[in-house]
Amino acid sequence: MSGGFFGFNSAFPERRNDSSSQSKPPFPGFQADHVDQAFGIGQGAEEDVAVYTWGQGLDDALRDAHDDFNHETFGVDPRGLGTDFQFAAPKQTAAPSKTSGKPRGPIASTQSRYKPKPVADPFAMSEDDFYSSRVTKSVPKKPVDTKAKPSKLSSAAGGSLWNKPNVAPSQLWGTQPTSVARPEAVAPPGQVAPQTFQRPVGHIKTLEEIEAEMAGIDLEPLTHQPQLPQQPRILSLEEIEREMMTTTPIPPMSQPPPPLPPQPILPPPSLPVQSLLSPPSRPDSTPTVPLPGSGYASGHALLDSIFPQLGATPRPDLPPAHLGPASEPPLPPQPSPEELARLDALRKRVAAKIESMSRYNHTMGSSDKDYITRMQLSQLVTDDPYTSDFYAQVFSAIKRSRLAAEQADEKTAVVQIAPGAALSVSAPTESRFGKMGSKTMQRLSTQVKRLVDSRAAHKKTMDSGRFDGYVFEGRLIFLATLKGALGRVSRSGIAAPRPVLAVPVGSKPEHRPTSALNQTSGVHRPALTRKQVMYALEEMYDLVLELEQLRRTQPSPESDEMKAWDEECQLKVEEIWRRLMVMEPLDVSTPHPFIALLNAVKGQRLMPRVLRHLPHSQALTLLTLLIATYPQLDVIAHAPPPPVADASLLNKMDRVERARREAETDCFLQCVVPGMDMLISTCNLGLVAGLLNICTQKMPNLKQVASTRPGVALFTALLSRAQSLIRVPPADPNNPQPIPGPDPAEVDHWQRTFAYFLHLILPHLPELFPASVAQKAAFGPGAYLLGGEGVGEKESLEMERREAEVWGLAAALAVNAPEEEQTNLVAALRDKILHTVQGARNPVTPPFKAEMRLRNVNMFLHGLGLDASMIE
Amino acid sequence: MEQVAAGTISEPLDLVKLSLGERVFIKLRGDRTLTGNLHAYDAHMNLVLSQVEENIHIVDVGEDGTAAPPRIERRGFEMLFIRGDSVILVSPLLE
Amino acid sequence: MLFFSFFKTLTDQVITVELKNDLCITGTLKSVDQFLNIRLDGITVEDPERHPHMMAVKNCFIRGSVVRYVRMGARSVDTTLLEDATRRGEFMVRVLKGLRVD
Repeated sequence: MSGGFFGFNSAFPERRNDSSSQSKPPFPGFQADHVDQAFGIGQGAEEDVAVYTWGQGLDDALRDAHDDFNHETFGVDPRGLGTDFQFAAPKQTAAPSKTSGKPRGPIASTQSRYKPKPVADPFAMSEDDFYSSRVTKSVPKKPVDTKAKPSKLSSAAGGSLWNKPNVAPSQLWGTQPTSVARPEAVAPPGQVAPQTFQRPVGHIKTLEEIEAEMAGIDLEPLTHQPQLPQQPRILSLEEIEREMMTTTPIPPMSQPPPPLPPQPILPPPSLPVQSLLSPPSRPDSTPTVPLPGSGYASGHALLDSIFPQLGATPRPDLPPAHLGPASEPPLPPQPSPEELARLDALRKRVAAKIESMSRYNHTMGSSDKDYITRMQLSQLVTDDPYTSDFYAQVFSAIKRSRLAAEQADEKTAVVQIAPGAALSVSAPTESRFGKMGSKTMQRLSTQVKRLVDSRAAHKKTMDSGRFDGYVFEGRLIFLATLKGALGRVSRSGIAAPRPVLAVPVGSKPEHRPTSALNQTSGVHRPALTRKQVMYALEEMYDLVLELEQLRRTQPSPESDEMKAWDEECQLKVEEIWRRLMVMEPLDVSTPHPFIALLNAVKGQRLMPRVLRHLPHSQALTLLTLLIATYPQLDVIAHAPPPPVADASLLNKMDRVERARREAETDCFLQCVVPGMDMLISTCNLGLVAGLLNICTQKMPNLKQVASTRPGVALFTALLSRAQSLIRVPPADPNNPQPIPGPDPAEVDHWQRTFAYFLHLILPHLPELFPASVAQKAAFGPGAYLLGGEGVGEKESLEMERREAEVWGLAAALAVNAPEEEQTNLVAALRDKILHTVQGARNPVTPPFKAEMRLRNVNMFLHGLGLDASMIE
Repeated sequence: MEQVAAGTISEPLDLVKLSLGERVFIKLRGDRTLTGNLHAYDAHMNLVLSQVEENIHIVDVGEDGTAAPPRIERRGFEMLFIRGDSVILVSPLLE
Repeated sequence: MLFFSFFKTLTDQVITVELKNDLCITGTLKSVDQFLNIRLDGITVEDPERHPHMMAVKNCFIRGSVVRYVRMGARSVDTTLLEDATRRGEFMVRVLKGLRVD
């Protein structure tokens, strides 16, 4: 398994062919031989073999040369472990078979997954790299110390990723279970050592042979390890020259030190264990992105945890890559204390880790890094960070304003690239560039600006006359021009997908309710379809968004632009007003188009934002229309049915339907009612009386309206507003000027209207209480449950809260009612009052609930100058 | 004005826009369906939904190769981002 | 850029990324890029028995394309704002295509 991990199929070719589990590799296209052909490399072998020529060759080479220390490198346990460790075992990782001779079991797909990688040079970072990897083909190969090479070259070469001997698999897997000289197979075909072809093609060492070999060499000294399992590699020019001068492999220690940055020998003390354990090389990582600590480290830890006995065995692993003499470990599997061995292993692993990481040092020059950063930055450049990064900007702004002043310092910096272009670098982004000094940022900014400018200019000359940017808020935005920073500049992109399906423009006028409505007023029409409502609302949202954007960019009051800006705002408001369709005749359709808009949750949510912008007179008109058409609202006409005692009595459809209606009501109460209250609180008494009059006239079924929460809220708001207007506040001693009392004519109007209203609603008053309704609706055990405390805590609390709303209405009625009517009120609610007070006094009732109920009743009784304590 | 009004319905995505803020039905690859409130989408059909119910339709195949009646696995998420490349269709969920 | 923008606001929040292979990784969102690649810290895996190889992984970088879902808390998202941002995105697209709105 670990073989697969290192990027090659560890199965022998013949086994692969006859093993059914491998006859269908997960990535057939990536079979070694296919890859071979596809990339046209490994030509040396292609005459007669389609199988793993490099593997064989290397195998051979290794044996001939210095594969004596394979066990050191790869940590082969002399006992020889099987290779059928299942990487992605469903429940428990299969123990590696200790019978090394036995044929390998099915190999997890990961094995072949990495196979394509070794092929030549998929990672050639540049042309140069690519050629260098090809060139090596002609160079007689010898195992060379990896380290001896300039890191730039070595890391660029694809092969180095895989055949790095210093980063032995043993580190990963503790004890390398496989005895097959698999690592050799990793070498890119193009780099096959010449020995490959000296060898009978068919001959592949058997597992036993190899193991025998390994067992035989098990005790070889450690010092030579690093060079031995070396793969043929891409050589630098110097190396090649050196190679040509000497025919025998040079022990690495005797080689001139490579022009590498000095490598730490011991782990920095701060190095977390995690990183110590993490694998030295990741077959699937790109050469530039070593990701320590992720992915495969777990494999080791897992193995350790599963096979503690392996952990106990001192591992003869780890090529001490460039370990200095000081840190030269005691030659391992001496019967040294276990702990010491482990520490050693750890240290070595760290060294190898550092070494493997440093392979990538200087892979990218600073200009490369700058280039990448420029690309990234250019992707983020916009004229206005609030357009492309609207959500994050506003979200963080809202968050900041919530966190208030103590965290006043800005987390978001808008890097002004140029007067016309800016980059938003908010907290998260900041961390991406966090390491860059502000100077660098500045420098990059100018570069990006130049980049953007030149592209814009280029675009302009290229297709002058064609649409290229657009004017938004007076500034030119080159959205399209920025798209291609990573490649082709194209006019379609994420922000501007090419329209593939072009529906003829203007073919669906029926979806546009607003355009037709106002001209054909007075005619009865069918109600708006849901789709029409949705179109209308989306158009409205767009308008509101534009208006809000416009308001944000208010010029200074003295400037000349002020007037133009003001006019523009006016126009938008008028447009919104028109599209609200408030001015449509009352009976143009049922529901009224405006109500149809409000029936959608989306419309309810929009309402407060619209109200904010409307002039007061229009808002009042809207309020009047809303009250006049109140019964048409879904939340009234299809109000949620009274709660039932036991939700389990409902089927699923019912429950879903109830939940939906409740949600609509909640939304209405949350979005529309506050605006309504606010408007009502600005009305004078005459207007309030007029509105209440509309209620009595236009609500044929007043009771139905009053038994809904929005209805209760509306009436309560009207009644309490009237009361606060009628009751003249006591004279303010600081303000000797007497506050004018309400106009007697208005008061009279109000009293008459109220009397009629009371007359209409009084008979139904007891039925408005949700608890009563629920109790009436309940039957059998349900009634019990409601009376008792069997209902869920949450539900019963909610019930009390809704009861309170109705008690609030009753109280508003009480304070408005003349004395003779007050008696009628109490009479009408007598049973309810008694029942509630009794319930509150019942010792079974939890105190908080009792308190709530008494408060509810007192709300009403106090309006009459009474108190619940007066009730016997 | 009218030009824009007409223009807004010329794109398939405009239909999705109508469902913004509303409950939608989503069909995904891998025999999954979702219902939830649509809060965001883009040209890739990346989506953000809230109050999501996911249904995975599973047909178990017995040892003899016969398919058991399909069953549905349900999961709920309060807020969910859906990567667009799994999305097959988005449709308004009408009452 | 909408979702890039969206995910930026989720940084340092705990999210659960469900991959297309059903692997669910919960962790703190550390960073995200335009491709919606995701870096998570302090990760835990749902059903670690099924994914033993993830046991010791503490942080990871997830290629955006392998993501199926990202689950997050409802409180960390401002849905109204998100809808507005979506509409604005749409608005931009339309303007770009030359359909002037005003």
